Amino acid sequence: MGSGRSGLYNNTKGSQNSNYSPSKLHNMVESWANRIAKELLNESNRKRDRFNTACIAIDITTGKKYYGRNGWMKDDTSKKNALLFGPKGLLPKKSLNNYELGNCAEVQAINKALNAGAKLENICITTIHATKTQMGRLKKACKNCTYTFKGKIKANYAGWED
Amino acid sequence: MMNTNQFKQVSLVGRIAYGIMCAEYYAKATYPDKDWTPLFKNMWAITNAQYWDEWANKYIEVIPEYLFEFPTYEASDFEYLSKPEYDVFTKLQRNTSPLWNNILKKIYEMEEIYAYSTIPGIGLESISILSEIIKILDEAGIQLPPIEKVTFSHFEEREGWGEHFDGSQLSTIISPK
Repeated sequence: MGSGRSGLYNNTKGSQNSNYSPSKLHNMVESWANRIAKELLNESNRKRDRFNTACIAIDITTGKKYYGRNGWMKDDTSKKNALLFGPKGLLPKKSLNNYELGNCAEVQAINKALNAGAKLENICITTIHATKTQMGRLKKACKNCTYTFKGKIKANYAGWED
Repeated sequence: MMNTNQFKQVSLVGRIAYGIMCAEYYAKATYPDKDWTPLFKNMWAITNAQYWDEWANKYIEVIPEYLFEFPTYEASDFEYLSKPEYDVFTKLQRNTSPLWNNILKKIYEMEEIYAYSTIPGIGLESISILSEIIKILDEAGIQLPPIEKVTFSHFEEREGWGEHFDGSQLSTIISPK
């Protein structure tokens, strides 16, 4: 089990020496989130402050990294992968919580990875808070993402809904 | 001083509802001659909104800090707010105090703190934010709403989020539907 600056990585198997260790993914996603936050701030405080979650997905067979952020579906016109969004897709048929189905940072990151040819079982993810006050803190998956990805991807270093 | 431990049994939507009630009490005490109906209709929508991210997208645009970020409607690049709505909300909130902005922003932060995630434990972070709203009213000598108004919404409901309800029933500004 690895340890993050903001608490333990629960139920993880990543080695601290691995290229894909929890702490390395954490650093990568935090760097990405800070860059996105700066870009959004250049547009407006409002757009910056709508950014609250960032996720990195890594395909351990290729080392390729894919990033996601909350609320992506209204801006990102890329293909919605059928494995997630199709008629027999893994996402629940309707949202299990108060947030629009598929709008999570995890879904965008994994959708990108799947579109690039990754297999779910080879994907590791880490999700963090991206608000000004909580930036970098690990963020557990929501009920929709836990339903969709738990037991199907290799690891979620930020943890699942209990 | 209110004992905020009482909110430990209240759901997140109940806590947010209490924050909105605090905002109503502050608005009526501080700006009694304004008609706050349009703003509180927007705010209370969270209590029975299907998606809180959609509510937040709309609500953030009427918080003064963001509403007045740019000098004109055209420059603001709003995604939801129409020009007639912009005119209403800017007229309503022009020259309001930073404390008013803080109250509205903290209600937004209560929604954001667990967005797209789960509520850890009993969600102490949201009570901490709510305490900051309560402190603003306390320091301004403004009466607090009775907590009993929101205790019907239990933390046990929907993993802490609480069942949806008609928030207008709690409002002293907008009419019940």
